[in-house]
Amino acid sequence: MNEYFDKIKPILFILPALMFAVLFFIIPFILLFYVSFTRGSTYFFQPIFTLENYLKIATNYIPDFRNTLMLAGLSATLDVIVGYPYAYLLLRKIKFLSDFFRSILMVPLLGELYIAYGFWWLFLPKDPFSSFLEAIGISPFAILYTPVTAALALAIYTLPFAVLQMGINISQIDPVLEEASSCLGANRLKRFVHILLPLSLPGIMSGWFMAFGWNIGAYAIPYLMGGVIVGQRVLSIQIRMVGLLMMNYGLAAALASALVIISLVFTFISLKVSRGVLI
Amino acid sequence: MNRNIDFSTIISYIYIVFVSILIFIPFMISFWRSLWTPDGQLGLSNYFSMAGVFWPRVWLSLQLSLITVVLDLIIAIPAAYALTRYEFRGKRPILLTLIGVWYVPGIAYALSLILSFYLIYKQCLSILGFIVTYTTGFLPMMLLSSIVAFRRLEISYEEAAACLGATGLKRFIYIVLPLIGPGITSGILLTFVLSFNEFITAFLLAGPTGILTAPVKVFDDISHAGMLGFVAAEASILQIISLTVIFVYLKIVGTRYLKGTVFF
Repeated sequence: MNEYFDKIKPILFILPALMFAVLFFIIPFILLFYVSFTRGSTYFFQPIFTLENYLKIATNYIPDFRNTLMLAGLSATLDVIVGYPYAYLLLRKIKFLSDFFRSILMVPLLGELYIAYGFWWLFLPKDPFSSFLEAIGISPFAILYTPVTAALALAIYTLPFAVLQMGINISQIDPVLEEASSCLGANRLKRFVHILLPLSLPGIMSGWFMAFGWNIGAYAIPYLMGGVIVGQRVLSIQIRMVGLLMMNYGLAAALASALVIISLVFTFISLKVSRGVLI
Repeated sequence: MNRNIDFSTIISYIYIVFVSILIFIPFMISFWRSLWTPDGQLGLSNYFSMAGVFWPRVWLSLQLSLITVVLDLIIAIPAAYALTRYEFRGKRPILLTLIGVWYVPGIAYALSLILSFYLIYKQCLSILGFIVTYTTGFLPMMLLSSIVAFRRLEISYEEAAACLGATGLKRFIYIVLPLIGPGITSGILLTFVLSFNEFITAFLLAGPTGILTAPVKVFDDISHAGMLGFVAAEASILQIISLTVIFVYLKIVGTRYLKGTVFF
C-alpha cells in the first residue's frame, strides 16, 4: 500500500497544474485544429468538413505571412545586433549600477501596448523627438506608418528576451579564454571573431528565435504603427478580424493553426540550438 | 594601459545608458504627454478627467491578477516540488504540457479558448474565463521560478527532518515552504506584473464576455481618442502601478531570486 502511494505521490502533486494545462491549453488547441477543417462558422450548427480554409490561406493570405515573418525577422535581427553588446557589456564591463541596468530590461515586460502607444506619440507633430528627426532630414510622418517603425517598436518589446538568452550563454563562457587569447597576441577583432562568436553562437541563435517567436504574436504594435499596407495585414490582426468580426471561425482557426505551427517549429529549433539554455 | 581601460568602460556605459533610454522612452513619452492639459498647459487635470470610468477597470485588473497569483501559487508549488524531487516516467512530456502555452502566440491561445468557451465550458463566458485563462497562461512563469527555487534548496534539510521523524506532509509544510518562500517571490512578482498588463488574450475575451480589463480599456481609448491627454494618463497610471510594484520588490528583495527567469 505504502509503496504504491509513493509511486503515485508525484503525480498527485502535479495533478492540479496538469488539470489546468489539459483543460485550458491542450483541449482548446485540439478544438482549434479541429475547427480549422470546418467551413465558416458551421461548426456551431452542422459541421461541414472541408480543406478550403487552408486553400484560401494559400491563395489569399500569403502577404500576411510574408509581412508577419518579415517584421518579426527584422526586429529579431535588430534585437540580436543591439542586445549582444548589451548582454556582453553588462556581464564583463559594467560593475557600478549593473543591477539597475538589468532591472531596466524588465520594463518591456509590461507589454507591447504601452510601447506601441509611446512610440506612436514619438512620431507625431509637436514632439521634441520628431522635431529632432526633422532637423536631421527625416520626416517623422513619412516613417510613422511603415514597417521600419513597427520593427523598431517590436525590437524594443522583445529586447529583454534576446538579451536574456544571450546573457545566459555569455555568462557560461569563461573569461579566461579571452584573456588567454589576448596574451597570445590576438587583437579585439580577432578575439571576437575566433573566440567569442563561435562560443556564443547558440545564445545568439536562441535569442533570435525567442525574439522572433514573441514578435509573430504581437498585435498592438503592428496595429498602431504599421499602417494600412503592412500593419493591417499581419496574422494576429487578421485572425481577430476574420474570427471575431467576420465570424468566419473556420478560417480564423486555420490561420491561428498555421501561426501555432510556425511558432512551434521555431521554438523547437531554438531549444535544439540553445542546448537547453531554458529547460 | 590604465587610461585605455577607462576609455572602453566609458564607451560601454554610454552604450548601456543609450539602450536603456531607448527602452524607457515609450513610458517617458506617454507620461510627458499625460501632463499636458487640453488647453496646452502643464497640469494633472488629465488624471482626474477619466476617474469614474477607469478606476473600476484598474480595480478589476488588480483583483484578477491577485487571484491569478494565488491560484498559480497553489498549483505550481506542488508541481515544481514533484518535478524537482521525484523521478518518474513521462516527466518531460508533462513539463512540456505545463509550460507549452508559453511558446504559443497569445492570439492563437485566445482564439482557441474562445472556441472552447463557446463549445465546451459555457460557464467560462464570464469573469471565470479570465481567471482560468490567466492561471493557465502564466503557470509557466510561476512554475519555472519555483523550479529554480527548489533546485537551489538543499535536500539535506528535508532528509534531516525525515530522520527526526517528520512525515511527508509535515516536512512540506514546516521545512520546505518556509525555506522556499523567498525564492518564489520572483514568480509572484512576474505573474502579477504580466497578468496585470496582459493585453491580447483579454482583448479577444472582451468581445464574448463583455468584460473590459484596464489594458483593454486603454487600447480601446487609444483607437478612439489616442491623441487626447487622458488616454496618456490612463496608460501612465497602469505603467506607474507596475513599475512601483517592481521597484518595491527590488528594494525589499533585490535581484538575486530573479536570476534564471528574467535576469542572467
